[in-house]
Amino acid sequence: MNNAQNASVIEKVKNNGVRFIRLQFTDVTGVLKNVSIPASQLEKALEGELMFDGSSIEGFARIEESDMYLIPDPSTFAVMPWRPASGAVARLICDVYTPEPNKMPFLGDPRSNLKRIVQQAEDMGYVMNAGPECEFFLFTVDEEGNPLIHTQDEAGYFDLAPVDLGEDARRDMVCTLEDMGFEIEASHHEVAPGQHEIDFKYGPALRVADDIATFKLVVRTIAQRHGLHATFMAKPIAGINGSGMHTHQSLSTLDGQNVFYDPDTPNQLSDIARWYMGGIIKHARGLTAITNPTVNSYKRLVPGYEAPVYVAWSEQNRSALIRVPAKRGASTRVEVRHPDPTCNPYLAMAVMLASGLDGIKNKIEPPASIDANIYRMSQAERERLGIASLPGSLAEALQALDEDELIKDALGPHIYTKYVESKWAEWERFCLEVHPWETKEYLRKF
Amino acid sequence: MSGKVIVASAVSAERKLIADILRRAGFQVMAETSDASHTLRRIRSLYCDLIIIDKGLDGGKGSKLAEIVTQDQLAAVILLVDNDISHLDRKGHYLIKPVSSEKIIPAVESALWYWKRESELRARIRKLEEKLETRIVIDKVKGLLMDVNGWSESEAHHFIQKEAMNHSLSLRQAALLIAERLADAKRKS
Repeated sequence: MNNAQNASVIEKVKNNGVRFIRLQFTDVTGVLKNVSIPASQLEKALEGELMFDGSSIEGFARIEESDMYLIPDPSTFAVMPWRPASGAVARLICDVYTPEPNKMPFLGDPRSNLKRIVQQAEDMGYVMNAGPECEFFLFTVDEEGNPLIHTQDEAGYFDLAPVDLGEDARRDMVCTLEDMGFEIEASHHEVAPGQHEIDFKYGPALRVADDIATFKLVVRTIAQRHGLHATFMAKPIAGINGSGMHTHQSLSTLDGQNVFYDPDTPNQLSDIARWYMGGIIKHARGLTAITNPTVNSYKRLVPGYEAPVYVAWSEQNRSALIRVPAKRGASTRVEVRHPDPTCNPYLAMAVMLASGLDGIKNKIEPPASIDANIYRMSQAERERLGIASLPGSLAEALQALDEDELIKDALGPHIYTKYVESKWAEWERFCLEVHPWETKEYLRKF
Repeated sequence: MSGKVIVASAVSAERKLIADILRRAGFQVMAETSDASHTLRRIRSLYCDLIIIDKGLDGGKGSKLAEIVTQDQLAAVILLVDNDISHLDRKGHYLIKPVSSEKIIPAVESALWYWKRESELRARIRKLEEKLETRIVIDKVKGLLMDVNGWSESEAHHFIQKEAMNHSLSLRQAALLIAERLADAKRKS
């Protein structure tokens, strides 16, 4: 552990008047967990001596591994900007370690797992850079604090208001994120009413996964402070665009040269870029259960709402799974368009990176790029061009995951087993429920 | 005295009573709200000077609401509390229920007066901070110019002034621009 970094964290805690530190990690489903400790315990925590009971955390639950260590990553120190009055609160993102005598990275910890895949890339001489575009909805809440499916900018409800509450809240989110060290590249209203997007600067995969987890926390907290509810649910309202998390990605050498760029090819994409896409396309069906992890996620992946449905790549068309933005040189990158923000960012990065690396290792050529609108093609035409569809439901995605050994490997046996268990249970709950649509459709008819 | 006020209480009789007293005294009651999130949306869209919050709002969320309003410097706050104030952190204005016009008018007036003064002071501090930062930047760039060109302090200052006028920039912007140029030149040499 880096002592200079630890000392600098301790100093920052003193200088900022921090009284509580939240030690954060995520469970397999990507839900942020935290253990709050007083500043006096910080040194002990930084030395990696703090334990917690892991048996009540989703996906950690093995009773013999109930006591685990939290090992904070000092580079993730940040002061939460929204509680300055009563003693500041800071956070550290942690890796989870198994108890003595082994004290090793816990196989069920998504962050440690991503580190493992990032290391595999490094062993091949590559660093993955990722830049996510997170979309979310802002809804109003009722008197009990329950979110309503009212978007805040629906005309009528706030006729009196001279300002747009959503815009105001989003501005506050951007300021807060900047206070926490994020570099915000863009923030804007999205296609659907009440839908917003905030993009932050790309970075190495692990840091970006940390950032996505923090981002969601900030967005939800600030929304609450504005009397609104922020949701990252993939498709909260049928008939309008859902929320995605398009993820731009590229590989660079260890000294920072973009290896997706090759000025000597017709489209200036290197072999590595093509093979990376080839890998993602090959494993697209298998990794979708990770990047689109809820029953609801698959209601977003339907034709007509700028979400991808078909496994293909394109330099123009946004109906394809992978789009290659026009920028070249150091900004050469591919944009994977199907992930949604309900995914566990650590697992999503891990499976996408592992697929890309597999493509490079095995020189998997992607099919020819498709620049036509795939939504408009007939089934026969798609079959002729060899364009597969993404899974149509969580169950189909889980089956595809089961058939993809590489993705299972990228998750590790522990996470894979726990993840699939919890997702099949979710699917079963969904299937057992009688949904309002069914009663509306059938109750009178039969 | 006048001012824009929002009244937030789950008890409708209490809300009406307070709003009535305030309106009679010439204050503008912009909204009456009965839950925390609705109140937050109102405060953020109506720009008021003062908000009167019942501590018992939403089962005790009143003080949390008061905290957010204070931290984000949205308006002055008066918290309405029950007889028992042993758990109150007393970091702001509060009034013990029941309210009456003799009690509430002076409290509202002083809260508004303090809010006005605090806002003015905050604006002044912001201005001073900006000035201080500008001064630091200019001093630094002056030092650089003196080092690089062997100029006197007044020559360096005059140069920054001229750059600012030539490019319609503030002194600070001009100084930052010069610093950038100097750094570029140094990198190239």
